[in-house]
Amino acid sequence: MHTLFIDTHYKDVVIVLFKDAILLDKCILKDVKSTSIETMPTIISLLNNNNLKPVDINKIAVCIGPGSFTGTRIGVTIAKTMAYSLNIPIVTLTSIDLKGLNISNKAYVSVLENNGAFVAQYDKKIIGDIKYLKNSEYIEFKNNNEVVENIDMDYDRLINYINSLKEEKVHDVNPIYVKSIEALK
Amino acid sequence: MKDVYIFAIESSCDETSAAVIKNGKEVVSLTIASQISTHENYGGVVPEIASRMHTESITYVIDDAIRKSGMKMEEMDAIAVTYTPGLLGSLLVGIEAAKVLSYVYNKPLIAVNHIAGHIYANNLEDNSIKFPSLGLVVSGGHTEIIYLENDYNFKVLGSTLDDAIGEVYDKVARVLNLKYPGGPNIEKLAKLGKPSYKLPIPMNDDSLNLSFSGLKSSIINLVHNEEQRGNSINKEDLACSFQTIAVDELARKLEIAINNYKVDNVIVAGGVSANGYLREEIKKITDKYNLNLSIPKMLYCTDNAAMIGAAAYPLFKQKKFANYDLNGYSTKSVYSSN
Repeated sequence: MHTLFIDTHYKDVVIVLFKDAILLDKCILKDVKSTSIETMPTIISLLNNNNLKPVDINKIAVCIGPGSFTGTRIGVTIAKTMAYSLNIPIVTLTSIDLKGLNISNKAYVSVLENNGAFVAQYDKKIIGDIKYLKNSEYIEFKNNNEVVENIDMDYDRLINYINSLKEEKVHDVNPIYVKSIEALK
Repeated sequence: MKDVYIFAIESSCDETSAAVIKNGKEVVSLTIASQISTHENYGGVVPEIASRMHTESITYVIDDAIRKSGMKMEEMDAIAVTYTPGLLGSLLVGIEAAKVLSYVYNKPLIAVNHIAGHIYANNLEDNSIKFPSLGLVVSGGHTEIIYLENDYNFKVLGSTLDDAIGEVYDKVARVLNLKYPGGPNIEKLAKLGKPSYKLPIPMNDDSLNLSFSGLKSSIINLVHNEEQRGNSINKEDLACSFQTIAVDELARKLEIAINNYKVDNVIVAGGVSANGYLREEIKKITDKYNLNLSIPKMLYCTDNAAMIGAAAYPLFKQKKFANYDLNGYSTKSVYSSN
């Protein structure tokens, strides 16, 4: 049972391969110039390095943001087309989940973005809504609240969370867009 | 020779489309999910909304096209996708989906230029491109008179120095308060009017270049001036006057090209080739010189994946395949430089 995790919600490309409940291999590219250039070759080389073919993947997990609109869309499009064409289950998690998973107490978790941050309260899961705060608002928010901003991702633990998630309908998997569209303001 | 089946995807602007094309000619299946009704509310395509809608519909559209073909993805010989020109965020949705299909089914990936797609729409079904040929490429981003030597060997003989013809249709439509997309709505209105407004004739010379910004500005000024004077505009007549001058200019320049370059064949390509008046006027000229004329069927004039499958076929024969690091580009020319 192989699970492929894809996360391209911001500037990094994160591809993790699990075998059953164990992390088999991972590839993390930091600050990539082009997510579209890097993501598929990274997935393919990770599978090749482990002598796996596409049909050996049994489940896809994908980060649906919030984050960069285009970045998130690339990972989500790859994930849903892969789950569709291989006819395998797909599960989704947010960029907030990825950080929140690593904290044990109830706290605010933030995911930074160019001009601000996505913030939500977290206690084993997201409580309430994810909000988008502009840089100035975020600085003020941090003055009044304890916010977990930087935390090392424990990818070994990720698989337990992935395995707890309910399968989604592949056609309905889409990024979450917390920020409004500039052009429509 | 063995039949070649290409699965093609197009997502460069506001249509998500997929198709199965046999031997670059036969449309085995075609699915188009149009976003026009959404963008209509904003008076034009909002790029971020377009990208979101492509992501929402991409697997539905792929699924629909392959089902309707009665074939399996395993039976395809290649996966083709538009990679330029267009809205970058929109292009990337089709590109990433195509990469996955290519990888999962172990089929070569073919990167297709959208304008080549419009040109090769002239190979679909009953149409066929005969080389050498003159071509008139008319769309929202392009207005060119080209010389088609052979497959993917196209030379620009003349082009617009400012606005593309489709762009001008949209701008004039906006100033007349017509809904997006402007082209079809101007054409409808023009049918009810007479060319009674005196408008400047663009680029009244013998070169093969074109210019539409002067015509556009004169219409915008005319409408504003009449509004300020409290006069009403005869929209039908203005639409007709604009269309007559713009299309007649395209036809006149094409005729100059026909006289300069002795060819037996003419093709028309691009979204504006769906315009009925343009189709009639070009036909008059090619009939006058007894030339073969190819204009795609209406369905294949606007954006669709069938034309991408048609344009991918010569690349398949030449084994021009793309790698998985394929990126999208908002502008990249299909024409050879000289």
